[in-house]
Amino acid sequence: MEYDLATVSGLFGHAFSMWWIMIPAIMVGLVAGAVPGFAAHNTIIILLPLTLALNVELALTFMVSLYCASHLGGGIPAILVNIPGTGGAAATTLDGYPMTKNGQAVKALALCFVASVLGGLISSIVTLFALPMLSKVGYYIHSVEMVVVMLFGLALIASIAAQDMLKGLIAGAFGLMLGAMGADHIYATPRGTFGFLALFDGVPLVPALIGLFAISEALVMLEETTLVKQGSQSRGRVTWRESAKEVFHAFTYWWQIVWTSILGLIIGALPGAGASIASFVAYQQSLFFSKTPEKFGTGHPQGVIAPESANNGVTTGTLVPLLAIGVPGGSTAAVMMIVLQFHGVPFGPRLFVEQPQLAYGVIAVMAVSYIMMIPFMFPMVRYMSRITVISTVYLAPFIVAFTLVGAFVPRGFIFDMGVAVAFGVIGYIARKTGYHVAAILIGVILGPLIERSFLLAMRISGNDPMVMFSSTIGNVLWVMLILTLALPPLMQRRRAWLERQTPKSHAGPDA
Amino acid sequence: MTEKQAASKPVGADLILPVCAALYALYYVWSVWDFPAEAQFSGIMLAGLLLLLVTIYLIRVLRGLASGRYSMGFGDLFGPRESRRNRSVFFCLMLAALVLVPWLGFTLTTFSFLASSFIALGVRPFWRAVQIAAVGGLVGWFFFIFLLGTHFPKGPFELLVEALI
Amino acid sequence: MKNFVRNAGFTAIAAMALATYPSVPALAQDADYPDSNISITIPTGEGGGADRDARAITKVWAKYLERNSEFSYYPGAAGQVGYEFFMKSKADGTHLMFSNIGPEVIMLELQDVPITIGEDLVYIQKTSTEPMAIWVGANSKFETLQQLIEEAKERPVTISVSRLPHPASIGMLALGEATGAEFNLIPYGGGNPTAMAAITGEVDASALPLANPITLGPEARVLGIFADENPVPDQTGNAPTVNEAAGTDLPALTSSRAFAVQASVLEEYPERVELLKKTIRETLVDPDYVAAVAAAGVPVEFIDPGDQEAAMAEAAATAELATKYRDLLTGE
Repeated sequence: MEYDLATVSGLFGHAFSMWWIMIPAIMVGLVAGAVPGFAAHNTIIILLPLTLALNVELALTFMVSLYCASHLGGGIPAILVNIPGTGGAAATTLDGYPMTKNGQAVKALALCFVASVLGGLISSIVTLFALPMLSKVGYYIHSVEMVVVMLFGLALIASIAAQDMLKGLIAGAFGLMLGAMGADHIYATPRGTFGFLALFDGVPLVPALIGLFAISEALVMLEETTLVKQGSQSRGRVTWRESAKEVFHAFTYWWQIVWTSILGLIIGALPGAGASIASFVAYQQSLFFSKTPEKFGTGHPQGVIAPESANNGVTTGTLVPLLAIGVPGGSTAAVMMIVLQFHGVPFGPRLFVEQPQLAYGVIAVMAVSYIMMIPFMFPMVRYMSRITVISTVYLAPFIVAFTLVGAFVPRGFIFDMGVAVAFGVIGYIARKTGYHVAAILIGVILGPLIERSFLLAMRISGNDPMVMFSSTIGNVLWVMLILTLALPPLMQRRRAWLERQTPKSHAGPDA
Repeated sequence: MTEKQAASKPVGADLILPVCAALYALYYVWSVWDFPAEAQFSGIMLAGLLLLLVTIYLIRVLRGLASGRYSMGFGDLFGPRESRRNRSVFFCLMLAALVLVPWLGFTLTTFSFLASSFIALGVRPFWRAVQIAAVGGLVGWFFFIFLLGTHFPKGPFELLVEALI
Repeated sequence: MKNFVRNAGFTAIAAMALATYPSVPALAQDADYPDSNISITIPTGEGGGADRDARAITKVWAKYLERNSEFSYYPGAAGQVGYEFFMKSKADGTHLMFSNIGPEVIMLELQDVPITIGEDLVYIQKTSTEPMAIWVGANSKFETLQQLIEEAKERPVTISVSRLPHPASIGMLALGEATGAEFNLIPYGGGNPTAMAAITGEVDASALPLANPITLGPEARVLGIFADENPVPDQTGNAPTVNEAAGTDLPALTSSRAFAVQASVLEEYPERVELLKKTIRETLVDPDYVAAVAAAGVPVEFIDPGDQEAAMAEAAATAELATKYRDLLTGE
């Protein structure tokens, strides 16, 4: 399609004209994202009777807006109560929750919203113009390269375990071991499942996430009467002016938002890679490039920006394989495909030939959804942070009651509520004895994905381990990975040496 | 209490997770023993890595114990003493809710869990705990069951509402 | 707890609720069947081919059954999880399974699943049948099946398949055996990623049910079909059958989608099963359904109103094939 001003403004104008369906979709998406257990794809499935009744354009608009908003919503509980609403927000807890604990909940929320909205907006506009190029990404990144991409995410375990490396590695390896549970990818034989049928498909991710974060947090938070220590919260109430100030201040991180959202977009465009991989990798890379890596994990703004803009960059990326090739790259796109098929709309390249307005329209709708989320930011920043002053004797039972529901929803097994409680116990012990729950979760999430890609690559090569170093892109990624792991300790040594040389120098300002 | 004991760091609780992880790793290896190589490979590699890490950690702990830097206490595992009873009751209520949900259904379980937890955690007066729990249960019912139609186990409340509507 | 119990309103509601509880199931009478929405178990993931086909059929079926359908997806262990959970669901004709006979019977045969077709579970009515196909992405260098086979005699050629226990996988193994070609089967776990691997060139070719490459349109090129004749020459660029192209004599390899119930339902509620079969058959010939299938990009030629006997015969034939290729498919 030729891009001239008239076409682009036509696309956007048309997208804006569907505001009446986008606003409810955004509201549903925000709630679904924020409630653990409800992610975009299962909410869309629950609402399929509605979407199938709408005409195809409205249905797509509804789903796309809901999807984008759910990625924003996931960060809210991650920041406020240390409970990621979705796997893609797990990395947000690393710095978001410490900010809340430091009495900076308002600031953290503002960073999360601005990063999400701006990140999503940037990546959807990039997609609109670079779709043909993005669609080629999948042709170059195969299983071998995916293994390395995911190792970047796994490297985060080492970074967040800096305090006690051995314990961090044990936590990560334990997570990987749990992630290796379930039927193997080639012969479908169940492994390490204790004979439970419900574990044949591996550790269910949402119950594991709910247990590790929500249930254990509920048990730990009861040791104090409120989440935020008395006195460290500046004031109970936040004014409009303050929320606006924090929102505008968050824009100063624009450069980090740009590159992490594009990183998210590219990872999202890979078939089978989703928001959790993108956010872990973005967090890990931000830490690597930061001038103040030691501040990560203690409530550092960059640690909130990275995962949030990356997981919203994924939203458009994930549609790329569906739009450009006709095969969905992830579960949400797969459900969208069902709706397209139900309406008899072709997808893949044929969509661009036969209904270009719809194909490009979807991406424009994404951009417009993000624009429409802007007015939601101010009241959310202002009011949501109040949750942190609720007494824990109310908060903890509510968290347990409703997150256990969330554990049940994705698969409909009572068993999964038990899984959540079991992981809750693991999470509680981990927290109380200095093992990082995020390290366990990274293992549980990435373990099965890496194993799948690894086994596929090995099988394709006829079980030749050298296949891992057989592609140029793969090798470039390997070098980058090694640099990522090796440089920080070297830099640290160098910095320590420099500081000894010039004792008066002091650390520079935050990037 | 001697000075040396007071200064030593209790690591008994720190051992729970590595020991559980090691046990799971051993169980995993046992469970894949007869499987084709591709199904075994990653699990056995991981189990090896995990067992290696745990062994290193155990050596660290043993050396610490020998030198008196560590002790086998459980430290802060159970949190502050004064709220321990409340929190353990809360945990038991959580387990009870899991057991009861197939019979009581979503709404009544949520309500009873919330109400009893509030009371156990010291919310007074009672009516306040019950009121908030009732609102919580009903809002949950409205959102999850009525609006979203999720397939929770139905209990007396859900069946009654179905019969009425 | 006193206030809790003394709350008169609450006690009254609780009493009423308890009174209603046991009486509700008793109210269900067969004249009302089905008195609730039909629950459909899909033993694969959401957004897959089974989901697509199930939605197309239930959309029109609702007209005849006067009930809607609710779906549950149980991917995992090649469908084993879905089958075992389905067996635990209520056996009264309100819970059905939407199966893909080919891969699932092979899975039941090869994996340690305590379910016997015929004794525990019965396929009561087919809805569609399609042959397996070998195809490549649009950018592939392979133009014909012969070229692919020639290359596979020189080096192992990689073939993406949905899973090893699958008729398409058996087809490739049989073809390799008959021609001396070496095919390295790579299971991607689901139709979508399998197709993606062939399109992006991670593997040389793919073997899947024919509807998959057809719905991909110009992105896919069908090289051969495991059937006695090509049922849809127009939509496959007049692709030859595998036997024509390779000079082999392989059996036709097909898979049918079919509804299944627990065997006990057939004994205890035969009239319900009859109603289900009758309404499904009515649906299959309904012009709205035919249009819905066409709209989803699936050839209408694949619609197959085969009855219980035909479905069970296919299951038996598939089980026999699975036994024959057991070693190759299980890695033992």
